Amino acid sequence: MKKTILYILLALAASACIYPYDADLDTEVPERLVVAGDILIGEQTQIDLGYVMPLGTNPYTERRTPPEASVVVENDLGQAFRGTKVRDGRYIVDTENAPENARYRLMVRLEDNREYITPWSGVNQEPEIRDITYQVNDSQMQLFCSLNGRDSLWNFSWEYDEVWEYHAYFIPDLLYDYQNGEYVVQRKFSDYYFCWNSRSSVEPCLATADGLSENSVVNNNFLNINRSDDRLNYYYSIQLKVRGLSSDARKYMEHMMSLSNGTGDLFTPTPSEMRGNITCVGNPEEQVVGFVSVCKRSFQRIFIHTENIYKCPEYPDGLLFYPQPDEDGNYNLDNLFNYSSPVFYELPEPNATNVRWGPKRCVDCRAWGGTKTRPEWWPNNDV
Amino acid sequence: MRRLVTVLLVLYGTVCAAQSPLFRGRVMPEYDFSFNGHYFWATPEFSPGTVCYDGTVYYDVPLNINAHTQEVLVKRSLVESPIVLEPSLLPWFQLRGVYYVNLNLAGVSDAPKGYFEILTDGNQTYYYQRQKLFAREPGNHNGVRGIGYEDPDYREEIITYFHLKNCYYTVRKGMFKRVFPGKRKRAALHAESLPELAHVVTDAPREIRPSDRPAHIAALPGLPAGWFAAQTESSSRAAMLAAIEQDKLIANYRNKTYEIGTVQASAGPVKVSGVVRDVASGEVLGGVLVTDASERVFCYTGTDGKYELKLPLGDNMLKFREYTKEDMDIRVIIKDSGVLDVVMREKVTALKSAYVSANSMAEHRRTGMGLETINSSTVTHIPTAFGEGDVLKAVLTLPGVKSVGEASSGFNVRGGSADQNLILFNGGTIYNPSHLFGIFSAFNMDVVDEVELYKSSIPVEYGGRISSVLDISSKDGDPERIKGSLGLGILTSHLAIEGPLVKNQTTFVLGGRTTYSDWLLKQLPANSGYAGGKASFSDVNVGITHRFDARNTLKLTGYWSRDNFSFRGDTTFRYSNIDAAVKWKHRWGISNSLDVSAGYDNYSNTLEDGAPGNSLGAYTLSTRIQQGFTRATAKVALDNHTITFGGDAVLYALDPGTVSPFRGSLFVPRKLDREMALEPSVYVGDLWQPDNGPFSFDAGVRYSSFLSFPKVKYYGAPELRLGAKYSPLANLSVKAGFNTMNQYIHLVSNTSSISPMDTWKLSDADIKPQQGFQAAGGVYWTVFGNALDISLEGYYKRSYNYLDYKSGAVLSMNDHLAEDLVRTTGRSYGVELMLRKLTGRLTGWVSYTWSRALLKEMEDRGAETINGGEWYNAPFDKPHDLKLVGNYKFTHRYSISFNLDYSTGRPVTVPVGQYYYGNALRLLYSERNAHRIPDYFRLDLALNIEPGHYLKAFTHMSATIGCYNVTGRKNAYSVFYTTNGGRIVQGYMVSVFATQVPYLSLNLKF
Repeated sequence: MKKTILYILLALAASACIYPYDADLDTEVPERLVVAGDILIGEQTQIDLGYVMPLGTNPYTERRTPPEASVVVENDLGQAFRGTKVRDGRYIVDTENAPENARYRLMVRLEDNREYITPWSGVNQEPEIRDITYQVNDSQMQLFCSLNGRDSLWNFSWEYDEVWEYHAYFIPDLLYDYQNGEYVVQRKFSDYYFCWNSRSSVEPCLATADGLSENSVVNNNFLNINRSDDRLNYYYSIQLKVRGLSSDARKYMEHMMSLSNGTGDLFTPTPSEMRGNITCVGNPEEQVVGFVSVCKRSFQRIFIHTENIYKCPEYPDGLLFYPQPDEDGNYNLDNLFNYSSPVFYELPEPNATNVRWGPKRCVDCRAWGGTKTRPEWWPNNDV
Repeated sequence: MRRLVTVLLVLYGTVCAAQSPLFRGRVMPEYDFSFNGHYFWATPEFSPGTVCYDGTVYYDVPLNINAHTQEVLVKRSLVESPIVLEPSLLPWFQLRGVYYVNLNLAGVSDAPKGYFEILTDGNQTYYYQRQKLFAREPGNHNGVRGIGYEDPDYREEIITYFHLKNCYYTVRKGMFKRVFPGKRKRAALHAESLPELAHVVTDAPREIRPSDRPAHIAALPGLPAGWFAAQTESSSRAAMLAAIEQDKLIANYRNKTYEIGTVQASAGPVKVSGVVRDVASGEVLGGVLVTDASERVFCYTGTDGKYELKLPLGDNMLKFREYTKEDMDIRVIIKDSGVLDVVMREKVTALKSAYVSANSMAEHRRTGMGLETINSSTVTHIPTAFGEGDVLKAVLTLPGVKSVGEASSGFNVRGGSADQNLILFNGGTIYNPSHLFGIFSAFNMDVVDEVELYKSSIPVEYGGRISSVLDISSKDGDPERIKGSLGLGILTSHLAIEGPLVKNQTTFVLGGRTTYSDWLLKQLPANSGYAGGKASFSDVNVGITHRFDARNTLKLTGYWSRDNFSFRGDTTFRYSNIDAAVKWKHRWGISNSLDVSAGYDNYSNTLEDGAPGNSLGAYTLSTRIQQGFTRATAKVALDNHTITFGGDAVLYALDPGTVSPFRGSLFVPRKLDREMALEPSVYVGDLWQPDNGPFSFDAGVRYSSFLSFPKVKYYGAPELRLGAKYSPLANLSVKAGFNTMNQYIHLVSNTSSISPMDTWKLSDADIKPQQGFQAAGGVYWTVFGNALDISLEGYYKRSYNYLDYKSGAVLSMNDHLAEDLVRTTGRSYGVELMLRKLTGRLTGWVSYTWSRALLKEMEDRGAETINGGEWYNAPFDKPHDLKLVGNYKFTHRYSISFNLDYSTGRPVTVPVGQYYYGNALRLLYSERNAHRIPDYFRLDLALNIEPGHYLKAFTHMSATIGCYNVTGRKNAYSVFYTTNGGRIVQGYMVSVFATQVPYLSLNLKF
């Protein structure tokens, strides 16, 4: 709604613009604990603890976390699962074998003995992932999912992990030996041709079946990938990890996401902080950020051959070139080495004038950020 | 300090001067013919002179002579508009060392009207008159009576008379012509027959110079003895009145004095009544303001054109004011009850001085305060972003009226929210007054007649909202002939036609608007990011007025509007207003009236979510308000009282939400229960002006009640409307007012501006009515010959049960909406200073407002209480607000308009912290509305070219060339923050009009 109005205003008033804006606020931030993560039954639970940082700080380098904390998941059967600190602020709790028929809560105790708890909660049963499908149009590959809810949980949240196999533009016939200053003929250059890369969703996806005739989400378009995106270069895989949410949890997550997504415009709700389900035992008035649910997740992965979907964003042949001599007629191939790699030789004896060179990304898939490590479950073996 | 004393002395002098009889004359509209010469005797400059007026001699008065109308003009100061002196009271004056005489008053009854310079060559006295006549005869452009545009080109004609042997002669072509006394006896004499005057026609005339001493002139034949002495009132009046026909008093020219009553009554006051007609058509004129000289005694003519005043015996002035007519001031001597019928002339198109003058001093006649009136002419001259006259944008130029953004719907009056304004269009309620989210208002200026905004002192006949009333009325069709107008703008076009269905009895007006923004959006290239969007609106107005007789009129009006917009085809929004009303006006007596009206209003909005690929989740969500209303208001004048009483009732049927799935959709049809309610009210009020004195009081009570059903809940409460005025001087008033209000319908919104998807909610067991009161006081001062109104108003308002929302509230399709809402109390206060210049080339106003608007949650919800239960800024709280609106007229046709707007930035809630939640960066926000966007500043300019003055021409084209935001300032429309997908925090500022926006608007009238 907001974007629609905003776009139309911008379109109608040709003079309209959006400018970066720095409010230059000099405001002290209240010290507020952030507890992020759900209790995941049947797998490991990850709980992240942190503090709210001032807006002007670098969130990567100046991240604030409680130095030490005790993180415990306990159930009404009397079991307690203690968390292990794996890095600053991150605690892993092994709830893989935690029983499903119990009620759970999270307890966090900080170094200063402040204690925080969540209410007892039963396990949200995992939704069923009916299918994951895709459609391809001129510009995008669109991914859809259909989910069936369980019990009284009509709200869904999911993350996804993407893995894709891709290749460089060319399999080179030659490499340039920098040490010896000569071309080396290789016959197994596929080591530089196929790679794998991966990515996880940053924002959780939320959907609800509220108002529908059945507890299902059908053909929810959760991801669009441009056809020139590297992910579609050769072989693509995506795994959904879906959990069911209570209405309160979904409302909290939606609200939190909307606050970070352009809220505050004239036609969007005025931002306001919402209270989660974490309470400070000694001071119930203390505001804590976070909503901890108790969930069981379902998983599903699909693979897509995307070789024919991919639209290469550039013309690879146009990137190749013959090295040019300098003023003295010398070929300084060593200088090219760091940026480029030779591709072909056209004569039996390669020399500076008859070998075309290309940028590294043309021949070395690692230059695209991936690795040569093939996931063990990967169905394709092109190595 | 010294400067302050000087200013006070000047102001005191101005006030004193306002009481002088010399400056109580008619203010002369300042027609500027600078491109074609001028109409003054010698020079446009005013020079100090001596004038004998009404028996008193005034010295060092800035004087000049209008050689076209042969009238003497005086100014209280050089910066004010001139005042026309009554010729029949002005026997002589002296200017720049020259004496001028009115020969008519000197006993030469058949001399030309006007003034004659007295010259002498030492022996002979000459009477010299300079006449400036039109170079071309006035065109008969406006009907048989020939009142139309007067060509400003002048030719000069000199008339010189001399006096000899009790006769007056003139010289033309070498012939003496005896012209006075008695034109019948005029005889041509050869120069040779009067040798003593030979020098007058010789090639070498003797030096003729001004006569230097009154005594010398007075000794000359032709003037009565003692002519230049201060005359007694009785002698000059007697001579003057003798020349006036008393058979039937029809004042068709302002420069006469009329005697009302033949026999001197023993005691006053007595009734003076009459009928006001149009001079051209003879039609009676309703709605004409009639006042006495003090402007404390006044009435408006009824639909039958009748007026009646109770006035004291003696000298007085009757002033007749109507927007479309030239001002009429008639000097009267009241001896007894009598009748004085008056005809008024049509104001020439493009001359706004008559309208302005009608508005002048209006504040001193009203007991109520906080009323702002704007007519369509003013609206069309205020520059807007796309050149189309806009009622709401004009309202926003008034002090105390603000909005949250320059392209936002709705407005805020004195710290009230947008839903606390009752917006009436021909009596029907408009729930969404904007098109395209606020870029345009919902009202077509082609059919709008008048706009009244009540900021405080809301009359008893209005109710239902606690902040203000914006009452917009459409005009009636022309009773004589078919007329129309066509307007072309950058984004919109509008067309209106009006005329008689039955001549002089039944008229119609039909207007429509549409936009081609849809078409424009389609022209955008596919890679623009905006292609595929739709945004359009249309509206249609229709009105039929039938006049049964002079006392009874029936008016039918209808209004329909729709907005439709979508972006990239995934979601479509629509909203629509439908209003239909019928109103019967009955007038009896002089000031008694009965208005009965009934109507139906419908406001609906719809969201269609049919995103491609999501047909299973496609649905329509719609809300609708329907209301039927009826009102009956009677006004009865009894001596010094005007009693207003009546009642109204509104029947609401509100559908808060209906979800309808598309075919194949999994959505379940769902409809929230319809809310119904009846809101009947009765009211009575009395406007009391004791003995036409300086005090007047307005007291009223309105009992409003509310019954919701089917879940029955009743609310009822009296509302007080109190006002008082004290006018120690005719041009100075002090007022105070207090009123309480109730509101039973609420806008449920969590956005800063009215959004198309906002819904309304009726009060019920969980939602209490909004209540509020306002106490206000003000001082109003009109100075510089009614040319400048100065007002200072202060107010304090409180409101209760205004709805705000809880964090994360779900406002749509919520069965338990009340649980997501919180009640707040509001507090606002401020002062508004306004200077309004009404006459002269430069007209307009400048206003400064300092105000605050604060809210506080009424309940304690612990840590979740908004801002910890403390007062917080309302979204429309802008403490400093400066507005300047003006129009400078170069000529009849060309003028420039300007509009300057400065205000403090509105409050916003901004992030103050960041944190990681999961993999994403999130934002923590400040307390609600704790910060502000940058201050707002904008200057607009426009050049207005009015139609040609040949009113007989079939079409008249006017054009406006303007520039919105001349300085190109990038004003913040809104500020928002995003984490760009949870990665990095970035703030953005949207500026809708981030640079100069030129525009051209063409209007064709036919």
